[in-house]
Amino acid sequence: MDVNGAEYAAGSRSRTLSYVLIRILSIIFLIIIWQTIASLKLASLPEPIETFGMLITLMSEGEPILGRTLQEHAAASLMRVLEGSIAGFVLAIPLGIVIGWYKYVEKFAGTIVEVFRPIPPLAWIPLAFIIFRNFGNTTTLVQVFVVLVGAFFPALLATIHGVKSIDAIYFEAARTFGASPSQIFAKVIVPGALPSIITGVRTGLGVGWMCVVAAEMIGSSASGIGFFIWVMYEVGGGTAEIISGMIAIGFIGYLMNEGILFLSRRMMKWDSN
Amino acid sequence: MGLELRHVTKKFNGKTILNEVNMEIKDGEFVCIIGTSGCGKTTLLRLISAQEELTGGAILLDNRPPSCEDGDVGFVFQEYALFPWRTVKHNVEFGMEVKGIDREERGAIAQKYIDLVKLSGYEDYYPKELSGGMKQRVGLARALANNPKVLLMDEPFAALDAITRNVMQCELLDIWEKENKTILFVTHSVDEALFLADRVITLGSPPESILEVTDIGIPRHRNRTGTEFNRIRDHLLGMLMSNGDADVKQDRECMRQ
Amino acid sequence: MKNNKISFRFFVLISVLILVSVCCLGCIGTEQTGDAIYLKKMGPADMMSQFNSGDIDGFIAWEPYNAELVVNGDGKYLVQSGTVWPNHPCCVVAVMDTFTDESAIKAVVWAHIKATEFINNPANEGAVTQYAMDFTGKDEAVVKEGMNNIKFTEYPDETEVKTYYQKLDQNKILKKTVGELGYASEDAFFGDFLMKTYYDEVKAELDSDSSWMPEKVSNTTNVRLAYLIADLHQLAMYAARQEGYYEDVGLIEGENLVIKPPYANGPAEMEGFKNGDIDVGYLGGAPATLKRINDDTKIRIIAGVNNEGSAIVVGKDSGIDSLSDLKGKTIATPGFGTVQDFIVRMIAEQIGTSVELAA
Repeated sequence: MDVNGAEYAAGSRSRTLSYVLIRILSIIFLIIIWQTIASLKLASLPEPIETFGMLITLMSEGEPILGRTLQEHAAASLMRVLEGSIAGFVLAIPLGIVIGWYKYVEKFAGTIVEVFRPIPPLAWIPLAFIIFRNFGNTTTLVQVFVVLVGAFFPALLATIHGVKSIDAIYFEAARTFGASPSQIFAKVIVPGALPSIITGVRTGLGVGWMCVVAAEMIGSSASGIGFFIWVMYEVGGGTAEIISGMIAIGFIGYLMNEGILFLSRRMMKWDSN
Repeated sequence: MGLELRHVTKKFNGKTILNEVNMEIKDGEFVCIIGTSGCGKTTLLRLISAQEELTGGAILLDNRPPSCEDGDVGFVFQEYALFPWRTVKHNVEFGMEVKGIDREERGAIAQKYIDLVKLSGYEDYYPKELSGGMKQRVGLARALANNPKVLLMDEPFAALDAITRNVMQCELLDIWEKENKTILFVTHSVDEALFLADRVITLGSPPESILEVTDIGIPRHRNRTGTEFNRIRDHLLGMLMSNGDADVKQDRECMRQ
Repeated sequence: MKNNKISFRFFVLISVLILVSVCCLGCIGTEQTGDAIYLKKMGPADMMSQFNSGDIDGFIAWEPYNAELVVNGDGKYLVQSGTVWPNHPCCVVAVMDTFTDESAIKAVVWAHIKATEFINNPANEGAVTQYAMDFTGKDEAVVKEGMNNIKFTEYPDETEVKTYYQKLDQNKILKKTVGELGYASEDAFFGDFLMKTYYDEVKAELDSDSSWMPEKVSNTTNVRLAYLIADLHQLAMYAARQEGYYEDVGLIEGENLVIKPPYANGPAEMEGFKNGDIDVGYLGGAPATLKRINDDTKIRIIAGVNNEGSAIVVGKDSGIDSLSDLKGKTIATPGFGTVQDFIVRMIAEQIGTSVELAA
């Protein structure tokens, strides 16, 4: 096992290296395409170098109209996503376990879930404004709510699936040891559904991130990357700023995804391939 | 004392699976149950471990119905049923965790059984990192660590290759002798039953109940090709065939040609 | 054991995340303690609902939104925009530079002047009020109040347009210089952008003969006309249609005159210009100027619609009775770089405080 492991590690090191190279190549490829489009004026895009310059300016000095740096906007968006999606997960995961576990609850809730699920989170914005009108800090609430809706369904479905796909034999095994329902919950359902739940959390955060950017554009706001991009669009002439904002969105989304993948790989060695 | 089944009857949706089964198993006895497919062997184990409810009759372990909560029975599954999210050690500790035995004590007990099934050094492995035979050793250690009065084994070696299976049978006998557990072992293999059991109970298809209880008098370790071994095997296979076990019938016909 | 430790660590991580986010939310909440005027950007519909929910202390918008809240709601006018910035530009009529049919441009200008005269004629009050109600969907009291606060004009005050441009420049909202747009100087830029020639010509003819009419637009010349939804400032366009001024000059709706579905806001209409969907449009002078420069959307202003007509509205019982009471208050504006935005900044300067973004 150990000898094989060493060999495998050596193999994987060179493989990792070539993978890294491929990744770098893909980015260079993208930049070349971008540069070509910009140089040939196929679309009115700023050149990559101009955009990266703008990105650095936005991060170091900020942008004069709103007077905030890109990181400040990103932090505001991120905070909304964390609040909204954590609230979404807190609702979705227990609910998903209950729905996945009890057949009757599944029948009862199934239709409701399936009707609500196709409603795009952004379609909730007007209703959310009306609902939260009297709560104070309506805008932020609406944005957080939209993220909540966006994060809720992936987490819910993944949790239901996770619970339902636990092999019945594990429950039998636990019962032969006299495990009580609460022990079965803690020692079988939760760990058994965890990989699926984590996948749901990952998807949910991703959807939440997309939602918050859009919600910041539609709903009135004062900070956030979506808001920043929208103001740049309204003011006009800020294509480089807009693309910088988009790069930030993509990069943060990528980091969040990788972060959770990393965590889940460490947490669930038993499940990785 | 021991395990007693009185007029045990089980019906699923009106269909009789077990009909009036009576048996008595002494403490420390190793009993194998064989039978044609669908004769309710597995159902019998599930009834004893209280995973199914009796339609009629009674099961008594030391004069009272067995209960999982008290850790009366240990179950070894054909599919291993190891919790994939637990390491070997944590799988073995499962029953003790449920009972609330403190961490140190259950660690020590788990270690003892891990050593007993010869898995020392694999404590922190996850099931997916183990071979089939190793997995079933964990399954056995997990059941034993809970210190059950009776060990129920449901075709535990059926999924293993022939050599591993023979090795596991020998080791099971060693462990049985060391631990002195009552074992009720369901198998589809007449050879396995003959190699392991003090007594072999042949279940018939309903409405028949027990076709025969056979004492295997051959001293251990048994020679799988000995004269007596072959004689009893022939007898048991014949009985299964006449009870309509299609597989056995085909097997026999094959051999004649 | 290992497994437990990792889930424990995960648990700790999640808890820390929640804590941090709660703290940050707290920080954001407590940021607004100074005596700056806090700006929040939103559309007029959001202003209404957030005003009612108390999320904002007031807003600066245009009619009929202001009147609506003053007449039917809990609002009161704190200050009219004209008081802060007399004669500031507001809505304009713009034409795309690719649209060069002089007779059509003159026809539109003529119809606009006629409609504006119609609106400004006190004898027409009844009809004008009815038009205003039909156009905005608001009730009589609201439109009457709103109309009081609008100066309907025929050409913007050029000095104030330039003032607006300078404010854009000072506030670093301009992304391009007039040089980059190909003009030798600011005067050269404005000479082209404020295309007053058609107006002057039509106006001169009308001054000498009020029944003068330009030659009819050829029926092969299509004019695509755009406007903003329910903006009381743009009543002239609606009145021109109702009074048949377009038809008088050969612009027949459904034939050679296409009225575009209403645009939600100025930037969207400027996008329409840029995409070549619009020939002539009624829109705010702010997005017209801003996007003319920043996006190089080549439009020219051929007529003015109104000056002034915005106001700061605050709660009736808010205790905000003077401009200096705005210190520390949150005010909604329709956008950065808008006339309304600058009016708030001018007020801030006047009362000796600064403008900051709301949390």
